[in-house]
Amino acid sequence: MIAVLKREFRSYFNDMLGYFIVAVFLLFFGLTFSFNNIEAGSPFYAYSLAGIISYLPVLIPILTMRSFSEERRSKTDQLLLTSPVSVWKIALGKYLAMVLVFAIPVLISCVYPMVIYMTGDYAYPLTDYATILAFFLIGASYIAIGMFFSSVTESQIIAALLAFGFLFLMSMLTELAEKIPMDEWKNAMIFVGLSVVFFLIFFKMTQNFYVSFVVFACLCILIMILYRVNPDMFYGSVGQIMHNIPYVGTLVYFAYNIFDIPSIVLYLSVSAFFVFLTIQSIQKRRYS
Amino acid sequence: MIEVKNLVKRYGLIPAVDDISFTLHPGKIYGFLGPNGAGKSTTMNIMTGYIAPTGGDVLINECSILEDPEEAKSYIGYLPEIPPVYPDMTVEEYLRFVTELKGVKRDERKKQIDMAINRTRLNDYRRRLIRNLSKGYRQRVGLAQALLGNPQFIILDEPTVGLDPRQIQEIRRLIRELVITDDTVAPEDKPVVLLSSHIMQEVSAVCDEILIIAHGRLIVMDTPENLVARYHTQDVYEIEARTTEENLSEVLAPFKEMATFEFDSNDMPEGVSKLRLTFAKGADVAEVLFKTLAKAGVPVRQLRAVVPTLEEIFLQLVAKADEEYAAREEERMKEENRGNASSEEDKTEETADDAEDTSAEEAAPEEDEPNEETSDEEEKEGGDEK
Repeated sequence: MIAVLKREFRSYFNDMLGYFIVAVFLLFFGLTFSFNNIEAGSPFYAYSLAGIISYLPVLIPILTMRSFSEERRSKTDQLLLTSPVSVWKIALGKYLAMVLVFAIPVLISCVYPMVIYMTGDYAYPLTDYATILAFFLIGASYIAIGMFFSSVTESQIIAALLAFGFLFLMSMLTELAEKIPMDEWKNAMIFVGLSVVFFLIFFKMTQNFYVSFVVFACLCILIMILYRVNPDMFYGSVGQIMHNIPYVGTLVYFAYNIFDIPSIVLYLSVSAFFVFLTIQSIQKRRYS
Repeated sequence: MIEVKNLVKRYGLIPAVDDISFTLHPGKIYGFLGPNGAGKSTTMNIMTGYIAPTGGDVLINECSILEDPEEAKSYIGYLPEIPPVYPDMTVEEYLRFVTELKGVKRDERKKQIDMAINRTRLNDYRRRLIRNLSKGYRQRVGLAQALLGNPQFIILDEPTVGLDPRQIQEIRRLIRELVITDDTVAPEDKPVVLLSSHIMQEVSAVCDEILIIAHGRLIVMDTPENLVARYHTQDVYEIEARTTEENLSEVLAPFKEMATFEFDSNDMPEGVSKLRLTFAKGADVAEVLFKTLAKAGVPVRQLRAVVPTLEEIFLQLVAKADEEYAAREEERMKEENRGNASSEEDKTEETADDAEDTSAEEAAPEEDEPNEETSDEEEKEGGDEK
């Protein structure tokens, strides 16, 4: 695992990509710091950081897009997968290498709260550091998601676009939830639509039309029965579910000086889940 | 010892590897031979744990590649078809990475890297970026990589493709050196080399035993000598003489009962006839033939015993496999048609497409020129993969 980690980390700095990522993050950190904290004189570095989080869906895919796609395209994955190292060690090694690259600018940005502390009248270094930690963990979970999309395709561009689309939707979830209509019938229809998506995925995976269609029909009938019995259940339900998966929004808790342990657990489990999915996606390819 | 047991790999419905079994014994070099797309790479990829089989198992030193992949893989050094090298590393960095990956002990690493570099003659290229190396040198780096970690089993997928003749010679010499070890090594721990190729010459020059596969099936596994002996079933003589065909057959009339006559004078110069005589095995009539012809005063330009080359045997075997495959496919089609007769329309379209495929496949074995046949074969297989 250490071998994969070392190689991967070094490869980012063997060409421009690693330097580019570090430089762009430092630029963003520096700009928001100088606008918010130096010019406007705010003592909260945490708020500046909350502004940067919306750029992560663009920047992280650039970091992660090549992790597995490139190996697969150039067939170097044959070396990794035929060496006496298990797949989870390979995936974890690569994941940690990317997290390390991301950690460089984040670590450098740890200087800013100290600057505020030493020069400002007010300073909240603990809040700031907690927010930096949350920011780092969100980034780490995005890296896991990006890595997963890189493992499903041979093309770096497609990997980056998939990761971008997914992360963008995810970070917009709370805003999107408010745009979802509230009335029962439309919500029920959204669930039917989701069943169609589920049916397509199920059919693609099993290649068995009848079984997947039966499952799909059962889902639809279930939704209809529930709708008949208790339409109130569906009132605003989709929006409610989306509200219950807050992600990026939780960074604000940290900025409000709340060390939100559930969010930390959420970030870590999303990371673990997508590293796990990456391993599955590699294993699945070996069997297909 | 490597045991491959009833290996099957299907992509969709198409079998790439179709029930292959064989055993490789220590201290020998094995050649894996087959036309393009026969399933050589797939089999090797399964043996090294890169892809998983649909059925069957591979035991490496009695260790299953499916159940205990890490231990099984630790016995193997593998050079895939495309050397798995990272262009952004130098040769030495790359080899160091591989030793770390294979879990070579820290104090052994330098020794092993030096050994691999010396064996593959990469000394002057240690600090070069792999990006800047030519195909031949990348191949050597790939080979050096396979040697690291002192694997007992070395599996090489087309190791000489893309190399110049001198490099080919060198790689062959190196492969032969691999199995020569001092006597301190116990016989069961001696290295095994399995290399694949679609060139018969190469395999017969290096290997102790040959495995021929086509359409995912193992056709034959034997030593080159045994192969020749096994398929040398007739004694064939070719006679070129400056006379007419009629005269020649008249002179050789006494042999009419023992042999079949076959004239082929079309490509000969004016007034020269060429005759092919096929006797049963062990006839040994060369001298008698010569005397007979000399007695009749026929000016003989050439008299030669035709021994089948490995190449011919290979092509013959592959052609036979093609026919069998076409027959199998036809059988499958028929069954499918029977099954489809009652089902929906869209499926009949599929079978129509498939039927076209089979007709193309049937056409291939009927070609006269064996070389053309293999090139047809390649195109066809390429098409299948798409």
